[in-house]
Amino acid sequence: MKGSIKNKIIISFVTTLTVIICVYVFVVSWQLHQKTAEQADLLAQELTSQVYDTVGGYHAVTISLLDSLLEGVERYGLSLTRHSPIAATIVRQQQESIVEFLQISAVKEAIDFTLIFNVNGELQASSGGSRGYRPGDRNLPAHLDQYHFLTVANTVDAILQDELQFRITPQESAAREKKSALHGLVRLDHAFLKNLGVDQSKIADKGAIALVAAGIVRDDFYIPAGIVVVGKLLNGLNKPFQSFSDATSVATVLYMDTAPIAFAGFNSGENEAVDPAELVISPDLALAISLENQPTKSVMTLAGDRYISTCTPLQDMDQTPAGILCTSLPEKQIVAIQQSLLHHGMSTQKGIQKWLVAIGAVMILIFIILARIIATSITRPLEQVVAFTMKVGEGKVFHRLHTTSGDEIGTLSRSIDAMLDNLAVAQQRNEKLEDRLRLAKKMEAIGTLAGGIAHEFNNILYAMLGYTDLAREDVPEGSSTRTHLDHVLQAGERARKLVQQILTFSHQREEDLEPVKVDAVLLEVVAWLRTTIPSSIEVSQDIQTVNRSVLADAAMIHQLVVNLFTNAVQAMSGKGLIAISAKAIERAVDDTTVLAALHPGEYIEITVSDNGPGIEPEIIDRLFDPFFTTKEVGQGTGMGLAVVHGIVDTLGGLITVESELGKGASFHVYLPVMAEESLS
Amino acid sequence: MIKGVLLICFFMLYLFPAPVKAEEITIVGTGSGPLILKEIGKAFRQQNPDITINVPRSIGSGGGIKAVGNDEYLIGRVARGIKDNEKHYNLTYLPIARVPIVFYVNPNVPVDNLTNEQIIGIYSGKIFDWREVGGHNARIKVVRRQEGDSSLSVLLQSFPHFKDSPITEFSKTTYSDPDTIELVEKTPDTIAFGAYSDVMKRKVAVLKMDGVSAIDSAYPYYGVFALVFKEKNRTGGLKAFIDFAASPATAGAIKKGGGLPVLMSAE
Repeated sequence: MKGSIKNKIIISFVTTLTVIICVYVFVVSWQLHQKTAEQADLLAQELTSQVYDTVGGYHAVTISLLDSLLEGVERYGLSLTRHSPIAATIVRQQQESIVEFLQISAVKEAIDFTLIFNVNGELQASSGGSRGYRPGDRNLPAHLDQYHFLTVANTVDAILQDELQFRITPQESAAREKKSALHGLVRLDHAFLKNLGVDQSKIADKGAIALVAAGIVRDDFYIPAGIVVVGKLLNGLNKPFQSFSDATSVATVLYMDTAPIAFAGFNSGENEAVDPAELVISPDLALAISLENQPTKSVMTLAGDRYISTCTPLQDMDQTPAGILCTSLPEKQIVAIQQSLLHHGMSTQKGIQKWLVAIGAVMILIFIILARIIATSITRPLEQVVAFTMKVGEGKVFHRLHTTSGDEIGTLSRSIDAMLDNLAVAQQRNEKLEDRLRLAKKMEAIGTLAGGIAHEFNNILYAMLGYTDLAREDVPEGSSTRTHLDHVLQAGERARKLVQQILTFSHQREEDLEPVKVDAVLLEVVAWLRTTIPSSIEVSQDIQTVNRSVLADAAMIHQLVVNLFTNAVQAMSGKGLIAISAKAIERAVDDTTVLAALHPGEYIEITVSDNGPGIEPEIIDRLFDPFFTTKEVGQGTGMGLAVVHGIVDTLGGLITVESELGKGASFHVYLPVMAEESLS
Repeated sequence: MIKGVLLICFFMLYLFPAPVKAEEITIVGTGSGPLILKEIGKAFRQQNPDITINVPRSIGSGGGIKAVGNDEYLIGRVARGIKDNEKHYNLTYLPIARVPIVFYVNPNVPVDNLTNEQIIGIYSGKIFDWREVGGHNARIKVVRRQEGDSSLSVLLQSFPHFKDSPITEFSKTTYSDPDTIELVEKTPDTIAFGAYSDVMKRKVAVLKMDGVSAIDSAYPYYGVFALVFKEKNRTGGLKAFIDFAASPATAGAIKKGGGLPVLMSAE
C-alpha cells in the first residue's frame, strides 16, 4: 500500500529516531574522542610525574648506596684502629707485617688504598690496591704534614696530638673522634693515586673521587700508636650500581666534573659496554645541578637516548663540588607506555563507538518494529472506517461503526455514523418525497383524468340539466313527473357540485397565487364556520398573528380549512371539540421529524384537531386518496381530504395526520412562508 | 681354676698386714689463693702424713660449688660466698682465710702507694698518666679482670666508690690470674689487681693502699677463702682436715701463703 498513512507514520517515526540516534552517536563519539585524548594526555603526564618520583626514589637509594659504601670504608678503618697487632707492629716498626696485613685485608674489603702513620706522623706503610708498600717503595710524601688534601687525617692528627700532650683525656679524645667527621668524600689527584700504586685503569686524567676514613690506631691499653687512613675509589665502581640496575633497570652515572667515572644500567643486553664518551653531561647542566641544594630533575641524553634523571651534587669534606650522581630511567620506556596508553585509549574508544553504533542499529530495528505496532494501532481503526465507507459506497452497509475511542478517528467514525444516519433520514425523506411525488403524479393523473371526465361530464350534465329544466317547465306542478324531474334536477345539482369539486381538484394550478395573510384568512374562515357548524360542536381557536405571507390563493386556504372542519365534524357525528391553531415555525436544517420532508425554512403550521373516535391506522395512508371515504354510500364523496391534499401540494407545503383511536385526530398543515423581501 | 687363684689372693691379703692406704683429699674450685691452701696442706700433712691433699687446677669458685654440690667431689675451695641459686646444694661454707686483694704494677713504675681516690681515678680513666700520681711521664696501662671475677667482686663490694663509676674502656681485660700477672710482669707502666697470694712471689710490685700493706691485718680489701662441703661427708680424714684448716693452728701457714687469718677476735 504505497503512500498509506501507516507507512508514512513508520517512515517519519523511524527517520526521526534514526536522525536522533545518528546525532547522538556522533556527539558521543566526538566527546569520547576528546575525552580519550585528554585522558591519554593526563595519564601521560601522571606517568611522567610518577616516573620522576620513581627515579627520585631510586636516586635516594643510590645515594644511600654511596652512604653504605662510605660506612663500609669507615668500618674498615675502625677495624684497623682496634687491631692491636697493627698498633704493636707500628710501635715496633715491624713494617713488613703491616704491609702483609694490609695487602690481604684490602683485597678482602675491596679497599683501594691505606696509609699508616705513627704518632709522630711518619708514614709507616701504604697499600694501593692489592699491593702493600714500605716507605720509600713509592714516591709518597713521608710525613702526614704533607697530606693537606687528606682533611680527615689532619683532623685525626689534631685530636691525637692533644691526647698525647695530655691536653685532653683519652675519653675526651674518644668522644671527639666520634663527633668529628672522620669520613667523607674527597677528590684525589692523579699523581697521588699513581704514587699510591692504585690501578691506573681506575684513574681518570683528572684523578678520582674517593671515600676516605681516618682514625687513631690504639693498642690493647688504648694508648695511641698511630693514624690510619683508608680510601675506596668511586671510579670504575660499576658493580654496586650494576646489581641495583639489574633489579630495577635504572641507569646510574657518577660524574667527576662532566666526565663519567662510574656507571651502570646502559647495556642493551648485548654485552656491549657503552662508551663513556656518550655519557658526558653538559657543563651547563652540571653547573645548574651543583648549585642546587636538593636533587635536580632533568631530561638527559645518554648513550644516544633520552633519560628522565634526578641528579645530586656530591661535595667533598671542604664543601667544594667533587662530582655529581645521576639516576635515570630511559624515556623511551615511558614513551612506549604513553603510546600504548594512547593506543589502548583509542581502541577502547573505537570499541565503544562500535558498541554505540551496534546499539544504535538495534535500537533503530526496535523502533521500526515499535513504529509498525504503533502505526498499526493508529491506522487500523482508520482502515476499518475506510473499508466500511467503501462498503457504504457500494451500498452494502446497514449498520453503524459505533466507535467509542476519543481520538480523531473516533470522531470521524462517529461523524460517518451521523452522516449515515442523515443519509438514512434523507433516504427516508426521499422515499417519502417520492411517495408524495408518486402520489402527486397519481393525483395529477387522476386530476387530469377526472378533469377531463368532469369536463365532459359537465357538458353532458349541462345538457342533461338544461333539458331537464325545460322538461320540468313543461309538466304541471305537483305532478309526479314534475317531482321526478325535481329529483333529477337535485341529483343533477349534486352531480354538478361533485363535478365542480372534481374540477376544483383537478384545476389546481399556480396561476392565481399571491401573498396571502393566512392568519387573517383563518380568522375569517373560522368565524364563518362557527356560524355554520352545529352548536353541539365546540370550536376553539389559537391563531397567532404571523407577519408573514404565504404564496397562495385565499380561496384555497378557505377551502382547505372548511374541508378539514367538515371532515372533523363528520368524524365526531355531531358532538365534540374542534381546535384550530396556527403559528409560525421553522424547519431547521437538521430537523429529523416529519418536517424533514420539507425544505428548510419558515412555515406556518395550521393544526386542526378533533376529539372524535380517531382514525384507524390502516386507513391513514389512504386518507387523502380521492373518493376514499369511510361513510356509507351517498353520505360523502370522499373528495374532501383529497382536495385538501391537492391544495397543500400546490402551495408547496406538507400535511400530516396524527391520530389515536378513541382520542381523536390532528391534521397539521405546513405552508411555506414567503421570503420577506421579494416574491418568487 | 680361676676361682682357686682368686681365693688364694684373697687369703694372702689377709695374711699380710694391710698397709695403711694413703687417703687422698681433692679440693676443687677457685684459682685464688692456691698458696694458702698449699701451706695449710703442708702443715696438715705433717700431722697426718697418710693423707694427701690434692689441689687441682682452678675451675673457679662456681665450678667448685657445683662439683661438690653434685657429689662429684667431697670438698671445694671458694673465694666468694655461696650465691642464692647455689643454696639448694645445701653446702656448708667454712671460711678459712682472708685473701687480700691488692693492686700491683710493673716494677718500672716508681710508685709504691696509692690512695683510694687515686685508684678510683685510674680505673675510671680520669687519671691516665703515672705523673699524676707521683710517677714518671708515661700513660697508665690499666689492666682489669672480666666481669664475674672474684677479685673484681671483692673490690666492687668493699672498695669504697669503686662501683660508682664504670671501669674505663681504655683498659685491657684479662680472663685469668696467670695471664694477668704475666702481662704486668712483661709490660711497663701496667697496673692490675688480684689476690696477694698469687703475686707475692712474682716479679711485680704490690702497692700499699693508703699506706696499709697487704700483710697488715688491717688491710681492708680481701676476699674470704673458704671450704665448701656437705655435712654428711665430714667424716674421717676430711673431717680431720676441715677441723685443722679451721683451727687457729693454721695462722702461720696462712700467712706464709699470702693470706690473713679469718678475723675471729682482735689480734
